[in-house]
Amino acid sequence: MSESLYCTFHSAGRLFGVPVLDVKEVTNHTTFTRVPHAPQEVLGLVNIRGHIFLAINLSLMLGYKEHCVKADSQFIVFKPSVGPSFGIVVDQVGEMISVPASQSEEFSSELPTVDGDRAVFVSYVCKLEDQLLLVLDPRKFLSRIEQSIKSRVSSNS
Amino acid sequence: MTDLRYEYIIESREHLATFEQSVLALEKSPHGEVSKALIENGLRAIHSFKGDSGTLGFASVNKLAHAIESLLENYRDGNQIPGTEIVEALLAARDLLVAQLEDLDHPRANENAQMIDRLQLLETQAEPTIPVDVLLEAWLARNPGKSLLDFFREVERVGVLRNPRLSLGHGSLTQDRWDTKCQARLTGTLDTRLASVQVQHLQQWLAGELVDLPSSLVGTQKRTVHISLSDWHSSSGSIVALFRELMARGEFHHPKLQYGEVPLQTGLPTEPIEWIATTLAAFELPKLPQTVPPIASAANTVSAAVALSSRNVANASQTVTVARPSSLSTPPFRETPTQQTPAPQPTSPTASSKATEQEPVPSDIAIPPARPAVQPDKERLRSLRINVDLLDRMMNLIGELTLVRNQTLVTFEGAEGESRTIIQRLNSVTSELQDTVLQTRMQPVGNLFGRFPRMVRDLARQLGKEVEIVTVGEEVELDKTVLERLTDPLTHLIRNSIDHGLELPAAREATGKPRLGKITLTATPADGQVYIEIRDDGRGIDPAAIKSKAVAMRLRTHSELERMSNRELFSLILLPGFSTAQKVTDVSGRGVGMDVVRTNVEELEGSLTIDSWPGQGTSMQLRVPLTLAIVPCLIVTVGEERFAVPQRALEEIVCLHKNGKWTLEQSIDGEVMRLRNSLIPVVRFSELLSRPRPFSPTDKEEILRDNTITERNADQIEYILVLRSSGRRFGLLVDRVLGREEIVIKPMHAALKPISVFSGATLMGDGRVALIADVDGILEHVRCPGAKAEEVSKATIRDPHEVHRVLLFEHGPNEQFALPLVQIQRVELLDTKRIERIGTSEFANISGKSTRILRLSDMLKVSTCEDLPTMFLILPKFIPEPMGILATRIIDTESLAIDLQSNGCERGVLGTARVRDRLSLFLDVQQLREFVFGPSKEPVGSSKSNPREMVGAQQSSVPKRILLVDDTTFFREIVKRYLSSDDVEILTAIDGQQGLEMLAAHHVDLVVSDIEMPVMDGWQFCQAARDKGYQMPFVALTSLAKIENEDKAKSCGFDDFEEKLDHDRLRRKIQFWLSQSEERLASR
Repeated sequence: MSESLYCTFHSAGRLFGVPVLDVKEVTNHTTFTRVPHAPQEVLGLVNIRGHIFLAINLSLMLGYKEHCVKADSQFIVFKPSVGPSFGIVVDQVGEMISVPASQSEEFSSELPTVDGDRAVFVSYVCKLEDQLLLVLDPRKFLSRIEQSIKSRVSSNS
Repeated sequence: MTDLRYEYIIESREHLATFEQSVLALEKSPHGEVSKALIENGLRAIHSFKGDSGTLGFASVNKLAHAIESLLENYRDGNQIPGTEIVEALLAARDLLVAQLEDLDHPRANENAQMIDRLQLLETQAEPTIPVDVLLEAWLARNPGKSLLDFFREVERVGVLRNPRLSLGHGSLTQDRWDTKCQARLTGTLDTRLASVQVQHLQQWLAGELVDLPSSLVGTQKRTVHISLSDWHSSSGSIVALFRELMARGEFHHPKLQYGEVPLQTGLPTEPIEWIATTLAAFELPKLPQTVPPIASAANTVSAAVALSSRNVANASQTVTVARPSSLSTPPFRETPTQQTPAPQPTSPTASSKATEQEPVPSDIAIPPARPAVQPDKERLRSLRINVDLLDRMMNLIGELTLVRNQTLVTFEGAEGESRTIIQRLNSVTSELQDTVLQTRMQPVGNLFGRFPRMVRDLARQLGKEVEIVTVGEEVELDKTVLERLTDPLTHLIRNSIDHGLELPAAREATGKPRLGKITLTATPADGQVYIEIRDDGRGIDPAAIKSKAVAMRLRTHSELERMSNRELFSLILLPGFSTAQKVTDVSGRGVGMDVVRTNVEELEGSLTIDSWPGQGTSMQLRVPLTLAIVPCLIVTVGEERFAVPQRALEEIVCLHKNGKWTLEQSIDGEVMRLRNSLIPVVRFSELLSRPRPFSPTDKEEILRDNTITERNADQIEYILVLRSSGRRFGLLVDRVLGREEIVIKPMHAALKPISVFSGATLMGDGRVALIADVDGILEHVRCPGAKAEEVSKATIRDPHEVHRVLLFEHGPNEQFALPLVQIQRVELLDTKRIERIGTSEFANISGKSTRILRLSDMLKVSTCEDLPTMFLILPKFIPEPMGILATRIIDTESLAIDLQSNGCERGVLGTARVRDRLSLFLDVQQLREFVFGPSKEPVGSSKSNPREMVGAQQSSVPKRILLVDDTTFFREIVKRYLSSDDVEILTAIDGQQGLEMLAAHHVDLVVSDIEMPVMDGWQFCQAARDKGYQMPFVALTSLAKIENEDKAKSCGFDDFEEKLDHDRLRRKIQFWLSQSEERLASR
């Protein structure tokens, strides 16, 4: 892995990225149909050209408190290879950034910026010139949601 | 490659299914053309499969297919049909192949090899090799006067003796003559081609149990074999194969060719060329075509008679001719001249314009070309295999297109001119496209029915029963999904029929039925639904057994059971744990199944009804929708959010407002509603949505505390959907009901599946997503048991003792009107702007029909209404012309026993009654109709317009008397009012018993009777009346509008059958039957 291309975005004031090959498209959808009983990270469902997609609030997913979706928020939809029809809502999508392997390192959970529990979503940290880019692994989002629904069901019964 | 494999799997499945069908049918069909065609069909299928498997390199499967093919080929000529053992093996081998199709990468080589061994073993048995072990002295002793030569001749005649060995005992051969004490024993094996019965004879003969070989085998003379080479060539190809075949059958002597006299210089002979030889060998002769009458006597030449009949011809030299009609045989000969035939020599023409045969000597070497090979190809061209995923995608895209269409319609609503026409076209094309795509998902029911013959066969065998299954209506089409989901319930019902319904063959014979039990599976399309009936002619269900079981299980009390009709009783077996079977078998009887069947069918939004006649059989009728893709739902809101609630779960909607009669009350752990006579727990949708965890006692307390009824929320209008699911009933409180919509269901996102209160999502017209409520999941979530719903009411058509439900509404401000629900088709919301006027008449477009609007104030002396922006239009049933009654306010529905005061009412009003302490006018829809459209049209083909006039014209002095038997006062009143006049006198009775009394007391010209009545129902009444010798016409009048009831009505002695409330038809019927009654009188 000499160089990787990331789709970057801002959320909760920080810079994140996901591998560009995981991204299907970026849309401006901001109204979602709330799904009662779903964990709070689930913003809801949205219809994009006749298909229903699940939208995840990234900030909440990563454990940040500021989580309101603004009118200019953007929706990053992932490819089916990442998980069945879903995407994340972020504050703003940034540029595509190519990062040489030398600049990125495996993430260790000691970094103070991310809550320990949520560290599992971060796969790499890239040291850009002016700031850090946290590379997320979108494959882990859906399983987290399933887990939290299931744990609620089992904790009660 | 994967594509190729996919194709292979699909096609192979079809081939193997065809093969299975052929083999199964083969077992039943008699010898002859049918079985021959079936075998060829099966062979073709397995051959294609073999070829495909070979091409793709599935060697192990290919070998097994080959073994199947070669076993079946022995039966190709149709003279013999494979025995049970063979069929069993063929089916087992097929199943093995099917199993491997599902998992191509792991061929089961070992199992295949074993199966091949089994098949090969059977194959050698099919061409029996008989061990020979004969004590020659003993044979001579049994056949005095015969020599050993005779013995060997006979043996030679029936087959070929292999590995003969003669062992001698201690006697002596030194003398010239045969020493009968030398214990000469002949051993070896005899290869024969005789049919199995004959083989048996042969074995008996060899064993000394039979003195003489059966006459069919006897005939020591030589026979002459004539074979038309040109025919053989044209039908089977290789002449080499023919001779190889002949050589395998025995030795032939003095062969020669014979053909017509043809000068060589003019060309090659056109006459058939015959090969003639003599032989002692016996072999299966080609069978006779059915058109040729068998000749019984011996003939020493030519004739059609050969073939099978030759077995019956003893002691005569025969000429065996295998030839086709020369007209057929000549052309092929010309096409392939001398290639395989020796140079012709001029001789005299033969007399071989004779016997005909479609297929030559049976052979496993030469395969006659399959005749109908062309036809399937033609059909294949007209259809195309399409991946189901692709279809699903098309469905989705269509959904999307519909959305775009809807948006466009909204955007350009006010548009004029060109864009308007374009949008209209877009609209209609989209709708049509949607229909077409839905059609692509339709599949014939035959695809499902096709799997049952095999199941029935196996099951019958397992249970020692003899069962035949007949399927009707295979061409009826259903949505793929529905079809798939029907498989389990149908399978279960058929199993039930075989296991419980049909008796053992001996028991059937004892009751005078044929040994063979019959199951009929029928599919009939009707009004956007499909009826599937499973009928058996078995022992039926005993209502008494159900009653005792129901009492034992404490499901119903004795008195309840006494009041129930048989159909209601039968519907009890659908309850969980209910089985009247005496013993539990492997197949069914655990009482689990029927409950599952019902659940399955209900999930399909279908219903299941059971009828049974003890000793005669049972009929189970399934009703399912054509398609599942689109489901009618109620759209409701809670706060700002919209949800869809499937309409199949909905019983009614109750509106809660300050002045309404419904209120919520608090019970111990939840709110309840008093709905007529029952208490129904109520779930607040909003509370449900805000509590993701299943309700705990604390939750319930909180809900009670937060929703104490105060003045504040009593002002609010709320709606309660009364829902039922799995036999439980509860109310779901929502803020608003937006309306009904046909929605396309999309599955819930995989990650959200564990959320039980939603079953899926759908796209609304505005493009937003709405969630679909899962009624079962909601009940589960709120931990509420739900009120026990009346199980029975759903399985029956209508409860005869039910009080009538009427719709209460207002037209003007002063009066309250009422109309029975049974007379109402539906109620439409009417936008007042949409009312169009022609002169004084008003019309509105309701589902494409210009519907006449009736203002009650124009016809009756009642207050006029003020036009509101939206009003209601009540569309009545049984009225031929489109019309609707305008209402300003729908008040409610009310169930009540109607006690009409009818004195001095004007036309159009049936009578008045007090409903909810308010005087209500009951409308007579028929008369209202006449206000607008005039009297009913005269019936075609009759000279009289209605009973009164007719009767009046003929017998003005003696009024006709009609006896009307109906237990419900209301119907009795309506019908009576409708029919009575000066010339027709109406007598009434409330049940069959009373009806009989009336018949005894009065002269009656015509009886009109309800079916479902207490004490004595219509069936019994009619039968009793007929038994007593009453001849007048009987017309059954009922809400059970079903064909089988019609049949039953006829069998009970009813002359006719009419639906209640269809006045026009009833009037015509009555008129007709009154005239009939005169004829009956006259003819006496």
